[in-house]
Amino acid sequence: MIHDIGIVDTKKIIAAINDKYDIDFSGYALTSFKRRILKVMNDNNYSSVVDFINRLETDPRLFEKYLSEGLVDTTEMFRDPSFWRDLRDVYLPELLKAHSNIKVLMPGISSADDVYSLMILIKESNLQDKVKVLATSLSQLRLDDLNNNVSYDIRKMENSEGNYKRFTDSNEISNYCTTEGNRVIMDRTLLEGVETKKHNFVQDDPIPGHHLILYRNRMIYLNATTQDTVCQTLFDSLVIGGIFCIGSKENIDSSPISRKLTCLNQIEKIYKKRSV
Amino acid sequence: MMSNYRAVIIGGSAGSFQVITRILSSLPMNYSLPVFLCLHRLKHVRSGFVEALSIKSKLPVVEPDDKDAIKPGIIYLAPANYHMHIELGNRFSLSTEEPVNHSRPSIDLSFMSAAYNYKRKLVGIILSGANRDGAVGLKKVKENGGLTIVQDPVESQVPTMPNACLQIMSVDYKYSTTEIIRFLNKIG
Repeated sequence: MIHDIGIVDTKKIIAAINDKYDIDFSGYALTSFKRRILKVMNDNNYSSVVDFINRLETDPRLFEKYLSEGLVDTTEMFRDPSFWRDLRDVYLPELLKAHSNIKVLMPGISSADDVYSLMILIKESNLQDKVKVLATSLSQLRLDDLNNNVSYDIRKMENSEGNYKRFTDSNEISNYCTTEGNRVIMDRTLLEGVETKKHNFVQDDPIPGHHLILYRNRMIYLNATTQDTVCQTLFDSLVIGGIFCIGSKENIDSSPISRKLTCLNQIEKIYKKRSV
Repeated sequence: MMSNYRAVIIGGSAGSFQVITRILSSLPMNYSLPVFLCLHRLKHVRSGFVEALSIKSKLPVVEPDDKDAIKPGIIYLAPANYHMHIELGNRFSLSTEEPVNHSRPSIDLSFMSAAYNYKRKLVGIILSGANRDGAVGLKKVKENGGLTIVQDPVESQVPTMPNACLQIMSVDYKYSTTEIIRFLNKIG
């Protein structure tokens, strides 16, 4: 087991991936990125950085696998239940007053958790016909996960269940899943209608025309410069009057787009696009 | 006096709250170092903790946002349900990675990143607590040349955490709360 890799080795790995696969991780926050690489290397029994780079460069399928393993999981459904309540009770209804149909963008999803949270909310609000969801990731395997059965360790599910109880008191999360042994399998029909697209918001163009963007706790994995770039791309993906949601401890006050946003909710970090 | 240290990091869990409030109430308004607190706390309760600590502290107590710059004389509390890392360039980064030692924030992760960033200019302190989170982190502080302290297990309400440190490394000092306070006032 490797306990640490240095900055030089980390940069070598980043350069190798960029050369071979045109995915640039140089704008990611170093500590967490290093930890992800360590995790992938240890999970797959690598003991040297040179071996690891060699395999990355020579085996694209293995790279895809590691890419998917290396992305950070959101780790729970309905994280910050008060955010999801506000979205359900205040911000979605507000958007639906102005628009008959709503397009939601979930950029850079790393697991199905947030997608399930949103789809449960939509179903319970009877908005399946009015709300369209697009989920993107730079990992095709992570997107494929959305089309397969998603299952959780039962202990991890307790966490999501606690969140869900704070989100609603009129329902049980067990209505959306079945338990087999120590695994909980989510009801896949919830995700029917979710569109997916392989896309990298750090490098690729905006996907315009969205009314709501959920980008919570994703920018914490980027450095400041890259955060500003991504913010601009997401801003350009949003219609005027559209709503932009980030994580409760993320901060975009110093980003150039913040002048064109109105903060609707300082605690949950919910913003509205005022102008182009 | 000019200190050899640039930061203090303190980890604690069950039984550490009163120790922390005693420490915070003893630090003067012109304290010259940043103090990082990584304390185990309820994941879903985001507010209240800062306020509770602020009552006792002369220095401002804040939960940093991601990428906030680190400033001296401020008590930084790891926010609920995030890991708190110290990045090169003297900034925080937060993450929602899987819990470590069943904990998020994990004391080990905060200590490891602080050790890497501050090397021998860091003081790491582990207080009372009911699990082993923090021991590996404190060992990293030592390996990077920093100074290591545990609350004396005899005095600790729940000594599992200080004992876990003493088992895997040679800690520089085993201090009572009073001695920790005296030491912190001397270096900053």
